[in-house]
Amino acid sequence: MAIGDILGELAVGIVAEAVSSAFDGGGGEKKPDIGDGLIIVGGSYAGAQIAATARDAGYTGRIRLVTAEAHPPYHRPPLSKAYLLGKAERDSLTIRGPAFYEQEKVELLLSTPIVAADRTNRTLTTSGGDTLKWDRLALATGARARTLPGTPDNVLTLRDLADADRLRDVASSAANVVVIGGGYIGLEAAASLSQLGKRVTVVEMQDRLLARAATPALAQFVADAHRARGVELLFGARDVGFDHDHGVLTGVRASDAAGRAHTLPADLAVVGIGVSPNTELAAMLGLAVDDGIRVDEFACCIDAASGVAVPEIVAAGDCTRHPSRWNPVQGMELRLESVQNATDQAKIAGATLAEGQAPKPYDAVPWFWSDQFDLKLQMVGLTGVPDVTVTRGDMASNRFSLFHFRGGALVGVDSVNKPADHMLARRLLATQTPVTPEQAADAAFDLRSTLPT
Amino acid sequence: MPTINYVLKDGTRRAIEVPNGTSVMLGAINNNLRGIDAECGGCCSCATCHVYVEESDMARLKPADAVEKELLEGVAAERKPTSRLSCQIDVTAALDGLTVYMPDRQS
Repeated sequence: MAIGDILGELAVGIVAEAVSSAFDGGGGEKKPDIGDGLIIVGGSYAGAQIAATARDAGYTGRIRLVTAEAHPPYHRPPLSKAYLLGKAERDSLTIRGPAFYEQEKVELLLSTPIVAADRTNRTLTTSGGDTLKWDRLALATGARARTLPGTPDNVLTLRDLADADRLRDVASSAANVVVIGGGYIGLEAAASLSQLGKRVTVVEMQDRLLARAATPALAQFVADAHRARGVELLFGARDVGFDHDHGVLTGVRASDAAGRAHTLPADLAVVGIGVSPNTELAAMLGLAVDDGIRVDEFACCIDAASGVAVPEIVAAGDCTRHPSRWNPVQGMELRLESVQNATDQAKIAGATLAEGQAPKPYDAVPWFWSDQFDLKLQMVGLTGVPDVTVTRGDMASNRFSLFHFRGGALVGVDSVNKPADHMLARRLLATQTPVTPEQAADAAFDLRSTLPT
Repeated sequence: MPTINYVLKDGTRRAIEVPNGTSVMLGAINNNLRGIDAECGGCCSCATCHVYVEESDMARLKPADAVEKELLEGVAAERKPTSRLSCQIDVTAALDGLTVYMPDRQS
């Protein structure tokens, strides 16, 4: 098979390029390199980190980072916080400065959407019709915001810088804002817009905030905090609809849990109802896709037909679904939407590309953060449904942590304005250090003393 | 523009002009100085932009606030009295000539 491929490629005039290391790991057979190096599709955390790690791990071939966006990779979390508040400007968002791309010889192809991909010929096709050849491919395609059908103007989603610029623009003249979806993005947008003096209502379909992403105890605290700071919350929302005047939003309609119909005046609505992973290219490449691009613990993609790992194609970040011992549903592959996952999985992916297989499998403890008003929320671990939760610190002071236990073991910690607890909890979970609920609840007990020395 | 001296893990010294109003962290990121990860982008959530400040420069800095102090408890490398998070060091003319050292690791 390999020889046939080489002959086929030589026959069409492509000369093999010497690339540093041979592949010997992974479940599948690595095809020989025939040029033209590594292509990374997607310009965000994972894309930038794959390039950096591949270089650090000794990859000397050509690297191209291809992104549909007009900007090199930038930090997205500030878009709903400091950037929306006008406290951060575009230049401060960059993940890696121009010197990185220049010195590490990472070519940036901006404003270049990829519309087709072919594994047999190892090519990508750009929206402009250009063909790009690759030996090794990294999919860091991310996810896109889910939208509602048939929405008038001024109903916006928030995912990238272009979205944030539009939101800032519309928000500058808006007075009444409805946020649809009480997840992290929606709540961060609600907090920022409220701080900008807007009247904000959050409309949530579930009976609580953060239904998918946080424990009920943390969600209750966050709900109380938003209400205390002037944000209205509407739970159990059904039949959400939009009123408009010549296509421009004037109000949001929704019925609440009790079936009462509401019409909320609105000149801006922000829709934060989750994301869909961008898996189209993976599917075109014959890779396994299941609400995410399936990867193994070394970030290798998986052949859809054989189920065998494909060592020359990796994926990382929001677009992937990966095996994880942190998943509360044991044995289920996990899809995470977080900076931590993008960065840590990309380090594995970059090392796998450079060395054939990363030295260690992906096993990092998942952690997240969210800043809302004066509240710094930091979460570590995937708690699922805890059977014991204890509070460390004083909830009324807005400085505390919730320690969650399942089957006697610490499985997650939510911290509010307690970064020291969060940092310690990351170490406790990573080292699987036994901690009891009594120790966790006793603020006078030094939890650091439980750590292995 | 103030000059910030970064001492890399291998001992290399790099003098970098860093614009006023940015941070010591951004100075490293924008110039591809390895050793500062800054995973959270400077919002004081991750403690991966840890540096050691030259002892004689410490008095020139505004002291760390409560959040930074807490995060410093969780840095991956050894915490020293001169430990700071570089995203929290705002660059001003008063910091011209400041020297910071990269720790051996950030995570």
